[in-house]
Amino acid sequence: MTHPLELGSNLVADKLVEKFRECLESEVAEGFLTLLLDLMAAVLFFNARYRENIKRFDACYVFRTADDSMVVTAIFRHDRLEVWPHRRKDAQPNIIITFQNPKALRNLLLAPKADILGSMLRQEVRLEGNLNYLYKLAYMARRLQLIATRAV
Amino acid sequence: MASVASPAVTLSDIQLVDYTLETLGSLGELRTQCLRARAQVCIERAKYVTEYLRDFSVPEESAELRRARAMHYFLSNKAPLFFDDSLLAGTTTSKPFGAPVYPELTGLTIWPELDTMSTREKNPQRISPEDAEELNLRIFPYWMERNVLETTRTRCHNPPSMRLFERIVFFLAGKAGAVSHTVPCYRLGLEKGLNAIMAEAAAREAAVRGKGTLSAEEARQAEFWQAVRIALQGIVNYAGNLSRKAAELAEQEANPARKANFVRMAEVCSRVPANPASSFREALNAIWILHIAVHAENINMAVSPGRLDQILYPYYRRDIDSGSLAVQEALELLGCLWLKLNDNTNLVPETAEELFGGAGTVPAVTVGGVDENGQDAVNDLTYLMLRVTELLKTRDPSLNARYHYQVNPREYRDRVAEVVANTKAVPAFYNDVAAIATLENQGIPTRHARDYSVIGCVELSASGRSYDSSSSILFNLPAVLELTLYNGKRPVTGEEQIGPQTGDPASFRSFEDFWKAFTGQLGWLIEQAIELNECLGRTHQECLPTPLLSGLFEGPMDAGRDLIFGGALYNSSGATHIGFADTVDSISAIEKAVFLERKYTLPQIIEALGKDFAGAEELHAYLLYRTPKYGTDDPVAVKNSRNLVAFLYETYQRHVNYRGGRYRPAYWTMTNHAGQGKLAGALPNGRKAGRVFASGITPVSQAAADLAGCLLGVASLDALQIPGGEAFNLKYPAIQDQDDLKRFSQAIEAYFQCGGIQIQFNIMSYEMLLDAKAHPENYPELLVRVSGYSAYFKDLNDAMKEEIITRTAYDLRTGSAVAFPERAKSMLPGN
Repeated sequence: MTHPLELGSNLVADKLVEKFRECLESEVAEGFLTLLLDLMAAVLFFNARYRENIKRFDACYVFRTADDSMVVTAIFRHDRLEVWPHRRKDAQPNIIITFQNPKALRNLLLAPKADILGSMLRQEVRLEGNLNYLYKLAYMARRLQLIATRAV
Repeated sequence: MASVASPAVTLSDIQLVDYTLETLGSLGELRTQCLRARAQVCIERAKYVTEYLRDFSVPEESAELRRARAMHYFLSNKAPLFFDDSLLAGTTTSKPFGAPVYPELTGLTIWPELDTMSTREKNPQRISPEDAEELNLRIFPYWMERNVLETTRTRCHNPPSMRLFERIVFFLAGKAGAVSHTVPCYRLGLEKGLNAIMAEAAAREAAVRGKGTLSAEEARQAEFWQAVRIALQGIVNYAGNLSRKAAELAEQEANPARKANFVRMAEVCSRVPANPASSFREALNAIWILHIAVHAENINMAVSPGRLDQILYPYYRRDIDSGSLAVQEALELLGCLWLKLNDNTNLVPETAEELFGGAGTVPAVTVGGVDENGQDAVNDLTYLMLRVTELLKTRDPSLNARYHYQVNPREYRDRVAEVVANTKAVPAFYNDVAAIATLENQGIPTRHARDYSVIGCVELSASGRSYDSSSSILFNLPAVLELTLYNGKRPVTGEEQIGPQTGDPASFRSFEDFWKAFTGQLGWLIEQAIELNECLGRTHQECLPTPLLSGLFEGPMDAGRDLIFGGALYNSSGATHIGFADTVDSISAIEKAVFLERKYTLPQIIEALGKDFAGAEELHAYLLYRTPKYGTDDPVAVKNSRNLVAFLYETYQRHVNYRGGRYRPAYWTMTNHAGQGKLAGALPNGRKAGRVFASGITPVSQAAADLAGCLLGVASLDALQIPGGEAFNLKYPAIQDQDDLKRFSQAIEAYFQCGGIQIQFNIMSYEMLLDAKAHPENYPELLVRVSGYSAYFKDLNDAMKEEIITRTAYDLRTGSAVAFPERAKSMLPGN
């Protein structure tokens, strides 16, 4: 059977999908962001249809906790996604997403819905920059979730 | 003294009881279809406008011309669709009930939900996978750096006021999502026809260009007239396409009645709006096509057709007198327009739906009142429109009945009251005496002030002459109260210093100290909101000129200047206020508890607020039941309500907007009082954390026990200081007989004579509303008045439902508040 993410028999990707599903089903939000971005990068690499989302899309996202105990930089360029577990010095972020805790970030992007406005209203996240980049990322994350859970 | 009925009233029965949905052709079936329709996202406009700007536009051209060409391109390509047996041709979107996407404004907020919005629990909006993909891959990416918010952020270097707006809990900036909120001058389109307006534009342009070397201003004027011509030609093209399609469908149609209707529509659209309307039917269809076209350029929020009983009357009278029109057909045509005005809805992301949902597009229609000469303007069409409203009971249009107690006949007033009683919610009543004086005080000449219409919810506007952008700022007053109590911080935004440090409340030695701190925070936050509105306004000038709407307005054509650049005869920006009554009551509670009776200290109250009154039950009960309440004759409450209104008026009026008009404060809240209430902590009036605020300018639910006191309390506010309009909600459990109806009418009259501007009603009991909340399936069409507009009760979120349930209901016979049901007391804001 063809993998829903069209990842073929790539074992690393399979493992990522499995962990992502577990993450979606559990209350534990730790590691969610890294997992999401790693899986997104893998699917973008292997799945041409999903890769359509980032054609000619150059963008930089910085995710951080208020105390900078966790910082992640995600850069889309050349039809690929690259992820670093720190703020890259050369990063010129289109948007900086500061979140209270991993659960707040998961609420922002995925479960049970991509509730950006709600997250802002509850002051769980602070956004600096162009919100449209977050809308796009939330769409891609949500689609990834639907594909991974075979909802589409 | 009320005058006798106007000679324009010739109906033998102003109630028109012989006309019902059963006797009015296909109106009953059309209404059923309208109420059953489920919203679908329509990408047609977004697709064509994006396509034009991305692929065909010339970047070197001015924004005015590019925008005009984009409108021309869209309208010329817009599909001519006929979904039902309506007598009017044209549809706002490509769906029977469509939510159009405006990506240049807030359309991109639905991006995360493209895969889920079709199936969401509350008010789903369906979208096909193909359309979702079109938005995701081809339309939204184009606008990522170009929508109003991002353009403004770049232009203004992400000012602090924008960052404050993005926190959502201080103020909302309407221009991020719209200007709209206006009354176009459709009369121009009917009387002149678009061909004549385009010819006028061409002549003006040629005259200026003929000068040879042009000044910058002349070049801009020439471009403006050229743009008007291009945009209006798009409307003519759309009407032509409708005509050809109707003729084609007539050829194919076997049913004689439908065939005849298609033939008529083909004839009508071949003439109007290109040419002056020559019949009532042509005038109605022309208005509908113009309304569609305005939405091609301006988002579908509160674009209001205005005084339709006045605009359409000459055509109606001529056709009736010549025998070419019967009252029955006029009612059917009007009914079709009413239903057509329901053919579109706002595109709303899920959280916004949960927090602020249930609203229609609020195209306000205004009837009655006086004419430009101050004479009774009520005519036969006024009564036909009331009858249609009474029969259809649809969310839109939002019908507003003007009443001049010195000029209009009592039978008109009583008929409007009867329609309110029968629909249980509409129309809203407006006091001509107060409203006209208020507009005159804003510098509007008397003749034009008398010709005012209502925009959207409740805003007053010199019809087709004043560009009011009445929803520019939605300002959260309790946020200011919290900033005062926490020295520039709000609990919901944590330790961040938001406002200026106006002092530790423990240091306030007098009420004057508190008031000074409060007005310091208030003035500062107003400055922020205005600064952002000005930034957004400049962005609109840079990116979103309105040549199409400008061609349908008084002023721009003579001035050679787009509305967005101040081309209208009059200009203003509106700022409405959320949580007025809760704020006034909180101020009064502080004055009495801390400074008059010295029963509690401010730190004690603030500590109790932080704990949502847990462990401070005595203090809570005192604040809730023993402090002055707005809507009563308590002198402290009266003083503070008047002072707050005066301060807001003076502060806003000092500011002149980017179009040369003044800022006008208003008091209507749509559903924002529920949404913002959810995000606010406990308040000194005894309201607990997370509870809804009172709506509009209405006293807090259950705070004013006496009807007369409540009416006087609201009416005592200076109408001249409320130029943006107000929404005053009142609830009666029932109007059971003619005596009740008389009391109902007389209460309105008394309120108006005391100076009240506006009043609207829900005629429903606590029990009925509680049952409707518990069993929505039994009340699928229950229409309620929210805060300036109507909604189906089932569509509202729970907080909003509870706010409507808990509004004080008054017994018309005793004038006292009806006891609130014990079993539902947990819904009350203080419980």
